[in-house]
Formats: sequence, structure tokens, C-alpha cells
Amino acid sequence: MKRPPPFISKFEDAPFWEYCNKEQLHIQKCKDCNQFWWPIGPVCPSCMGESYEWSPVKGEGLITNYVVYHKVYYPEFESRTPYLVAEIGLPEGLRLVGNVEGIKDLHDRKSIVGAKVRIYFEECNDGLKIPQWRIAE
Amino acid sequence: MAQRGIGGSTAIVAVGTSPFTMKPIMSNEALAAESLKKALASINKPKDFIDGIIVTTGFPLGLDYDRIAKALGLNVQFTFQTWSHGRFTNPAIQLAAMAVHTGMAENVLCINVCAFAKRKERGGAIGGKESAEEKRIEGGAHGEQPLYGLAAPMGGAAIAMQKYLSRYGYSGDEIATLVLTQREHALLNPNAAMKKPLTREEYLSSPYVIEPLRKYDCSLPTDGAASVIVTSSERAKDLCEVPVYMSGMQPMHAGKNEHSFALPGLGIFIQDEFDYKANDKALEMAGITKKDLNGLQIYDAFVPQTIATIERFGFCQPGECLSWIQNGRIGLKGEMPVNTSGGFLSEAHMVGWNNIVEIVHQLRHEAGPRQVPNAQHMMYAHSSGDATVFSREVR
Repeated sequence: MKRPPPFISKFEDAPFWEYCNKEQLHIQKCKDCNQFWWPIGPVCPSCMGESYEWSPVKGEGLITNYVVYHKVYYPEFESRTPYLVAEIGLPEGLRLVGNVEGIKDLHDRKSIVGAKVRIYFEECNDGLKIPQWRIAE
Repeated sequence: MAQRGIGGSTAIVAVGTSPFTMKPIMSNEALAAESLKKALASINKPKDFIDGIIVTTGFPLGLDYDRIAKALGLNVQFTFQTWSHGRFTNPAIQLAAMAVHTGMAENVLCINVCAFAKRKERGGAIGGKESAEEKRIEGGAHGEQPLYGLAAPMGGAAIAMQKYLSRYGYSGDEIATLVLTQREHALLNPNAAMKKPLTREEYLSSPYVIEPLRKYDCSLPTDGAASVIVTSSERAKDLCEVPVYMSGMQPMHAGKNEHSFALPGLGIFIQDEFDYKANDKALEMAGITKKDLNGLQIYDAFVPQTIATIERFGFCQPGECLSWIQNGRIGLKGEMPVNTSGGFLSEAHMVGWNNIVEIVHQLRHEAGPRQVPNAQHMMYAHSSGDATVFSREVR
């Protein structure tokens, strides 16, 4: 599947994509104050600590919010419009953006918000693996 | 007349606009020239009267400060330009006030060209594959992440709107009142780009663009320019009949909980979820309360911004806005008229300079059929916590 490519600087974001390539979701976690942070950055936004590890997260979460695109902004999405973009709340206290497989009715807010999801990795753009989500049974 | 520090020490003496149009009708330079000529003519001054210039919308939306200065033959010794996003209107006019208040400049021109119509004709939509900003490591300025198809400023607005609707239990149909009220105001404004009436049925049956938002929930892609001249309150009294005093101001906020389409605490992207507590710092500086305000002009690129702004400044509690706006409250005869020119949704997207021009017309009692009777104070407010209070007289 083709997607608009993510920006990869190869500085502090390099490990994130290496883990994705191994189908693992690792997020920066501060060694000083123990907090995860997102999006990727050089210092902990809570304490400005520079010492961190790439820590694994459970890979499950809840849909906290979503929108449905009926208009095409990128040609890569033309064939799957309308499509859903969701915010996924992780138990680690973070919210990520992604698409979700397995939603039956794109317009049923009551069944979408709060739905449990589990991570999988989608291969796109000739070999790039990206975190994605599907409804957990 | 009492001043409170910078509150009340400066005033707008002149404003001018080009026509606001849905199609390009002249060059960006011609738009700028027309707005400045009108402003200068209203105070009978030559261009050399201007010794400072501030621009918020340079390339790629409008004209940069140096092109404006060269094309219009200005010679200024105070210059500033922001990142070309609409949100800097309050910071810009507040900087103009600070420059005048501190003596760094005497007569500062805020001049802005917003050429959305030209941009639409050239490159299609705002956001999407032509946008360099969306492709940064942090994504676009409104949360855009093209990898997942979260594209365009409207995408961030839709995220904010949906979270609001689901958190507070609205259907979304309640938004119609906000959109229709502003359209009614625009129909009383000869310079509004939108001339067509809109019914509730037309609104509710229109398709979603990015659900839960429809095209009517978004600003108009117009072309236009506006000039606003700020000087000291002392000089203002000799320059024009009714100076419009900048009586109170509070600056723009930034940080984890700030998203320009959402109240802090709404809980989108990296925001925490909590109940925001409003404050009235600009009104306090002006020495007035909400009851003294005769209208509220709001930066409304998308409807969730209007909602966030009304709640941010405490006109109602978080989550109450879509009920609060019903039953005529925000109409011209209501308790708090909102966006009396039609706002970005129905007058033009002039990133707020149109709202400030409207405040000048309202406080000078020259707004014709949309005049709010005996208007004394109005506030221009934006969802990032910045506001400026304008007054016909300073208490």
C-alpha cells in the first residue's frame, strides 16, 4: 500500500523506525522522571531530562476520537476514501494517530469511541513498516 | 480618562480594506495598495506618516513586509513579520501598541494580504500534497499526519469538533445556529464576499467534507487586504473624530495543552483532559466586565475555534457553548453579538484583520444595518487565549 511518506530525520527518531521494522512499538521514556513522551523529541518535555530509553508499550488501546475523510487530499488515499483516522489512547498515557481496521459503520460514533484496538504493523511504500490498529475481539 | 499601563495608551485611527472576493480580481500588490490608500485618505495623511509596519501573512498566503514597503513606497524604521499563519493577529496588533507605547515607532501600519482565492486557483486545497509543513517530523501546525491521511488544517479542526461533540453529547446539528447567524450578519454587510442566504435545511443536508465538519463550517477562500493604523491615544484625538482605543489586551499562549482549534483540556492530540478555568485579563486591563461588552469578534477559520474561544473567555462553561449560542443570543439583537460582519465563515478569511476593521466600524457607529446599538466596547479574541479589548472611550 502506498502512503505519503513520513518525515524521518535519522537523528533521534532513527530507533523508532528500527523497532517498527522489527514490528515492535517502542516509545521514548525518561530515565529521570519515568514518563513516556510523544511525539519524538530530544529531551523529556516534563523535566527536560536528556537521559531516556526506548521502552516497549503494550500495543493495545482505546479509540478516544476519530474523523472520517470524504475529500481526497493525497492521491494515495483516493481509492479508499471515505476513510477513518483515529486517535488511540494507550494505557501508557499517550495518544497516537492511526487508521483502524475492522470498523463496520464509519458513522456510528457510539460504537467507535471507546472501542478496544490492538496494534499491527502495515508494510507500505516498499518495505516501510508503520504502526496500525485493528478492532480487538 | 484613565490609562492602565499600556491599556488605553494607543488607538486605531484609520482602517481600510480592499474588496473581499471569492475569485481573484487584482494582484496582491493592488489589494494592499487599495487598503492602505483608503486608510490614509480617512485621516488625510500621506504615506510618509507611517513609520512602522507589521505583517502577519507573508508568503505563501500574502505579501512579505519588504515587498509591501517597496511596492507602496513606504520608508519605515520599525518592521516585524510573523510565520504566515492567521493566528498572530492579536500578537501583531499588541506589538504595534507596544511599539507606540514605548516610543519605538509613532504610527504603525498593520497591513495584510490574504490571497486564499489565488491559492485555491493555483494549487487546489489548503493542505495536502502541496503542503511542505505537513511533512515535518511533528506534522502540520494543526496535528496533520499525512502518513495516516490526517491532512489539511480542516483535519485538525474536525478532530477537535468530534471530540467536543462526543465528550459533551451533542449531535452536531446544533452548529447550524452559529453558521446561519453569521450568514445573516454577512447579508447586512456590503463588503462580505458571501451574498447568498443559507437555510437550516441546506446546512443540515450538505455533505461532510471531513466528518463531522461540512464546508459551511469552514472559512471562505477569499482574496482581500486590510490596513489598520495604530498610534498613540494623544495623537489619535487630533487625527480622527472617533479613535478606537486599545483598552485591554492579553497575549497568546503556547504549550502542551494549546491547540489552536481546541480549548485547553479538551483532550485531543497531546492535550490533557480537564475542565479549563477561564480568565478575564484583557477586560480587567480595560477596567470593564463582560456585561460591558457590546460584541465579540472571534477568529473563526473553523467553527470549533469559535466554540473554544467563547468557552476560553468564560462566556459559558466548557461544553456549554453549543447550547449557549442558541435562541438568538449571538445575533445582532442578542445578549452577545458574535462576528457581526459575518466572520471568516461568511464575510472573508482575513485572519482577523476583518474582525478588527469591523470593531472599528461598530465602535464608530458606522456599521449601517448591522450596527449594534450604542456599541462602546468590543473584544477580538482567539482560541489560543489572546484577546484585545477596544473601546470608544477609555474609562
